[in-house]
Amino acid sequence: MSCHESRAGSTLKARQKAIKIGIIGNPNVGKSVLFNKLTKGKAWVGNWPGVTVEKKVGKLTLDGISFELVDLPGIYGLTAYSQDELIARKFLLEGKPEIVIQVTNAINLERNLYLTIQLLEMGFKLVIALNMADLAEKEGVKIDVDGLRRELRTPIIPTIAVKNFGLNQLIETIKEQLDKPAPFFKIDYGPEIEEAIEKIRRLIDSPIRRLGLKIDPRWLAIRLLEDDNDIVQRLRDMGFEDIVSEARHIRDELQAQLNESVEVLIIEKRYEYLLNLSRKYVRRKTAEKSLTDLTDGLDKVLTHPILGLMVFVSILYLLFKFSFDVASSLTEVIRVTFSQHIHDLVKNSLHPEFISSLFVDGVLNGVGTILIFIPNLLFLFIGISTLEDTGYMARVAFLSDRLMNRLGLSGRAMIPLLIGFGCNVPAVMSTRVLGSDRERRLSVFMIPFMSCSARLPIFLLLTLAFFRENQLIVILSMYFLGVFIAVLTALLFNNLFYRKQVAGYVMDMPPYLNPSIRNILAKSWERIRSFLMKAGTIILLMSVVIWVLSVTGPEGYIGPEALRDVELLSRSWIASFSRFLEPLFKPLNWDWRIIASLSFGFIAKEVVVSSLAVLYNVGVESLPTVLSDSLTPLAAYSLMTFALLYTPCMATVATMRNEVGLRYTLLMVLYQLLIAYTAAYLILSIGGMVI
Amino acid sequence: MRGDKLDNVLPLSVVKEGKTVRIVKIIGGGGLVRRLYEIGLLPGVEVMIVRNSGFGPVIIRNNVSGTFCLGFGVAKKIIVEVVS
Ligand SMILES: Nc1nc2c(ncn2[C@@H]2O[C@H](COP(=O)(O)OP(=O)(O)O)[C@@H](O)[C@H]2O)c(=O)[nH]1
Repeated sequence: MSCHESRAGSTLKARQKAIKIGIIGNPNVGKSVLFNKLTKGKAWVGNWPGVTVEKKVGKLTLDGISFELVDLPGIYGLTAYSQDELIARKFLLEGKPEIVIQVTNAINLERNLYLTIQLLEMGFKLVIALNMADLAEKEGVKIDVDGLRRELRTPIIPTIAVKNFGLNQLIETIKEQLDKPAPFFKIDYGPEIEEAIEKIRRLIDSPIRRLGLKIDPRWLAIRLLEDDNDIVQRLRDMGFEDIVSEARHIRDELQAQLNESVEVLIIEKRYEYLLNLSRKYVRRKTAEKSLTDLTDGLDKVLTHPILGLMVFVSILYLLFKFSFDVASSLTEVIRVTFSQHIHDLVKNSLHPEFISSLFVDGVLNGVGTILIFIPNLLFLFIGISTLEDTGYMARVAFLSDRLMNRLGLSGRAMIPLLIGFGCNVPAVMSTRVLGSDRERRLSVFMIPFMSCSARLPIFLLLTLAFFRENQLIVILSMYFLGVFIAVLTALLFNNLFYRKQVAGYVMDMPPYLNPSIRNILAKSWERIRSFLMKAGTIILLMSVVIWVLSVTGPEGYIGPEALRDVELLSRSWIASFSRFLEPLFKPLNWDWRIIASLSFGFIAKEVVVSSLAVLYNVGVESLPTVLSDSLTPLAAYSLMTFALLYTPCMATVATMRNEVGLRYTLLMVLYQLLIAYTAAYLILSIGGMVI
Repeated sequence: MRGDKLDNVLPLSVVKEGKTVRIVKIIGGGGLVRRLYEIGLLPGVEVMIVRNSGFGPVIIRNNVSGTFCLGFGVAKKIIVEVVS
């Protein structure tokens, strides 16, 4: 093979390997919309290594070149102050993106430019999407794009992500940038600081070159002056202890000389620089009917301590009513189609009986359970995404701040708790936006008591069987009980562990915006998909496992008849396991079949209803009738309480483990079992005395 | 204290809605100060108080930073002088 050929081969190879692009920006700039538009929905969600923060990666192919777009968390700077910033920085340093797209908000461009400066100092090839161009125009903000582009030596493309405006030009620009070198960018920090930067730069320059690292030495020097812990640690890990301590020394000297904090001075210089840019290239004139006025007008009511709270409660009520009412008819359609038509079809067309039973009683039951879930979840997610996209969620945080402060939390913790009503898994994941570990742990402890939509089918089923008249009230009482226990839990743990601290926080308040329906649908679909992938497989698997454990037993294979014959079924594995636990639940008067389905509910609460159906050997639709023969209403209420409070599904437990560690998770699991048992017992005994 | 120049200097948390203030100083640990600086809230900068009920979080605004909600604890640590 000639040299020429091998080179051609390697270029081809390089081409086959996708070119990595990072998408970064402040929160609420339209980053998600732009990412979805650029990748045309061809994206997948994973986790960043070592943490549970979602990592969205998408593909984009242009003229045979494939790009891999990585969506980074919404951040203001790269100081590694929060977990999100650490993740973004880790990707920038280690993921080696070829190009970084920064999505900026044209209305407050200056604040966005702080991140721009940091990215340019790091030596990245940057493409700036000047998003929300439409809103900026309405607000009377005029930006001299050409001037700014020349000064920063960085392409700047005005975009309106929701209307696809500017996206083609953005893509063209990305392609053009591929062959260009990164721009030269430097801020003058003044003679004293510059001298110190230069000293440190000379120290690290040659070691870095020797190692062939693609890090800008000047940037590294600045970070060392800013006493950046993460960078210090990285250098130490590479064995540059001496450089680190030498840099410390230089920094201390400088600090003594200037008699002020060096990091503060450096940030001030950056702001000086960008305010100068702003004076030169940004013009603001007061618009007649501006978005700000509209926002302020709405906020007069929506953030009012009393009116605002009333609106919030109404919106919450509407959200749940909307999602359940709209969903219920769809759920019914799915239920009927599934339990009758498809059921019969499969049953009649599959032989032998063993196989047909596996499919009908195992697999199809599982699939049915998953499908019955989707309408509820979908509409709940649509509701939540709408509230997020209009900017209302930030107001919720503002309004809840005082209340949440009593529990030692900031108002922002309200949002994960609300998401918890939909699904505990994303709720636990979204505690990441909270500032301190303490606040995150406290809210993670509260979330499992927020009755997620997986618990609703259990309540629906039992209320249908026992409280047909007062169904809504009984179900609502469950939600309130959950919230009540969550509040007690927060108070308990905050007093026990943290001596009632309160969190300090800073949060962006976006203007109210018309939500984009496509964006909402895309977001909701993304959430549904992650539910399907995380919970769906477990549910399906468990349905089959239950089937297997029901048709086999200590004596061996019993056969599908076991599902129709309680006599036979009581010889199964499931029965032996549950009977083993029966003494423990004697005080609650539970039948082994209830224990069995609740144990499966530990794996996923979604399967409680379907396993009850399997164990009582009826379709879900006739379960209420069967159950009402074997339980009293009080026992049913106590069972609902237990189902509400005991350990959430495996998926939640696994997420919790990632977020707060194994120790706290185990503590939580035990705590919840104890609470659930106690509450169920109290209801049964006190209720028994009253009635 | 009346007539004293220091009379005008007070924590952001007690400033009434609708007033414009200039930041004089931020007290507190490095993390918080850094975060506030990063979003453009640094000494010398003017901000308008959009909402302040006196015992909860404070909403502030200016052209550079946009609109931000500061927790009560944070607002207490920002020392300002009233401009108008
Ligand atoms: N008018 C307008 N709205 C936009 C534009 N880009 C995004 N949005 C809206 O801004 C809000 C925030 O967008 P999102 O992508 O969720 O922000 P992120 O936090 O940066 O990911 C959503 O309601 C979008 O519909 C734009 O260019 N013009």
